[in-house]
Amino acid sequence: MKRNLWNLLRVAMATSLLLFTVATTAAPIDSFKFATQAEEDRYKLLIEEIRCVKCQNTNIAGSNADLARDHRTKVYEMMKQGKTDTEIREWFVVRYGDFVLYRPKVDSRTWLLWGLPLLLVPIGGAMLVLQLRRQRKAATEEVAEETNLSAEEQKTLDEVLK
Amino acid sequence: MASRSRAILPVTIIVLLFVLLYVGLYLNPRHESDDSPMIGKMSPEFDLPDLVVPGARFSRADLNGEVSLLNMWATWCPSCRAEHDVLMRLAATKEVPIYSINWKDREESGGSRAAAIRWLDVLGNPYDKTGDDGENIAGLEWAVTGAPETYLIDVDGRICERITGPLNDLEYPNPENSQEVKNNVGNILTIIRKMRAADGRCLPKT
Repeated sequence: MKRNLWNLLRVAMATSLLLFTVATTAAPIDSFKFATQAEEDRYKLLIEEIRCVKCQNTNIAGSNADLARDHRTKVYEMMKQGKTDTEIREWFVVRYGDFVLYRPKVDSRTWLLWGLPLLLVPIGGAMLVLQLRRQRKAATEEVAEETNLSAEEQKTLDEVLK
Repeated sequence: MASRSRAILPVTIIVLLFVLLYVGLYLNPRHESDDSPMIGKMSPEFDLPDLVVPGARFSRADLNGEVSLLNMWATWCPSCRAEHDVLMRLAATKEVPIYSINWKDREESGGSRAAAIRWLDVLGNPYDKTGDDGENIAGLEWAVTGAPETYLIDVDGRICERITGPLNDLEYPNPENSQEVKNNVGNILTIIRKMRAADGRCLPKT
């Protein structure tokens, strides 16, 4: 009985995992032509980091929304016009705000957001090192204590090893 | 004793985190996105074919010289249908010119130009002028994120307010519902009257 339940659970998990994979790979396909692979990669990176303003919790690369398609076309057109990545991002930011970028710019309002991990990683690392050192020290002391035999113990040990 | 002093740091961190999350509970995460960067800016340039009058245009220049409303709508948008009745009643008051952009009304979105024309024929036309923006050209300049959307424009053509979602003309909008209050025609008319009583420019933000 228990085993059956377990099997059922496993099948359910595998199925949902499979469905999830299918769902996430079913991104919309546009028929834009790129001269080079580098251009196409650039385009892909850009549409990955621009939020779909209609659906809000996905990027325009992964959205089937009508407006997301218009935005992908706009990115493509701006690339064709020779606009830089910064200019393309700026086009979106002046219209929809910083919210539209998944990687917000570093400025007076966002430095804490960007800087905090940089600050926290060394602090966490230092704490970890200190803790490990303390543990190692404690462990060595314990071993030393255990290996210090009394005269009687040493005598017994010598007897046994004879 | 030593272990107690060592517990102070984690406990402090947890308490701080708790305070942070507690404050976060009462922040409106959509607030930032409602504050469109378009507000306070001059209306973007656009020049569209008139949906109703063949050969005529509806452009940025039409928005100059008076306080007006600009409504973005489409036939595929159900809340635009509900809003249409509100707009008809607002137009009947003749208090404020209402312009509109018929947004993305094309087959791929589930609408069409013909359907848009029929909509105004059958349901009535509350608009002083309507541009046909089937290709979302003006829409991208205005940063439209969905229909319906309504903009309050001042005498200089500056955007004072961006109102997302359908307008309502409830006599008593629910004060708990900030969108219902903001989208209330009575409240919008109060703002417009205040603007006109002054110099016709956007009211300073409080």
